[in-house]
Amino acid sequence: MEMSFREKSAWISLLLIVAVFGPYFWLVGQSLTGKAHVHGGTQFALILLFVVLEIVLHVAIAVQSPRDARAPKDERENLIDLKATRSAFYVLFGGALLSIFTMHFRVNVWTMSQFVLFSIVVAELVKFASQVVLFRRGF
Amino acid sequence: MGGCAIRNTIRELRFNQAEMTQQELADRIGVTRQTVNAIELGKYSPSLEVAFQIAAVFNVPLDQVFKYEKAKR
Repeated sequence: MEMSFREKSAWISLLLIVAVFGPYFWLVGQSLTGKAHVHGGTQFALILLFVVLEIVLHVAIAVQSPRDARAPKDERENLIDLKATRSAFYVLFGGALLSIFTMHFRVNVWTMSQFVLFSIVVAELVKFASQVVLFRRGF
Repeated sequence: MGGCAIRNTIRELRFNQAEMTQQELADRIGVTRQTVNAIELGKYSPSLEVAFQIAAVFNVPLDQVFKYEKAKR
């Protein structure tokens, strides 16, 4: 079945998170075991790259179907968004608690910030994956 | 009530309206074509407002579009 603008948007965000933050957290994992070093600017550069790619790809799909892109979300799309955001909230909540828990392992601020960023990224991943599943299933 | 499901006759009603497309119906009730498809296939139950709008497009009472009946096994 042909995808709606918002389903395409969810796919783009999902794949971009995997493509951009997957390698980043692999590098962070290597850094935590002392096998690699993550430069200070890497995090900033990746977030910038993610935002730029999101904008470029969303503009590309909006050009393909301008009417869909301009139209407000309908009730089914709103409900899909709400359901997916609720799932993401629980993941973020758990991630935030785990990030606080890392304090007991005397980790430094940088490591703790990576746990927080990881929680945010996983929560977003869950949100977009849930959206894709709900769009594919119909609801 | 267990074992009941909402069924609809949208496909049939579209056919009787000179094969109205899902996109035409979607445009008239202000939802996406994919939402009309999900409603038609029984995957999504619309709000009362959208249900009444669909009935109004086909100029039929609501219970001619949607029926709450025992699910087929």
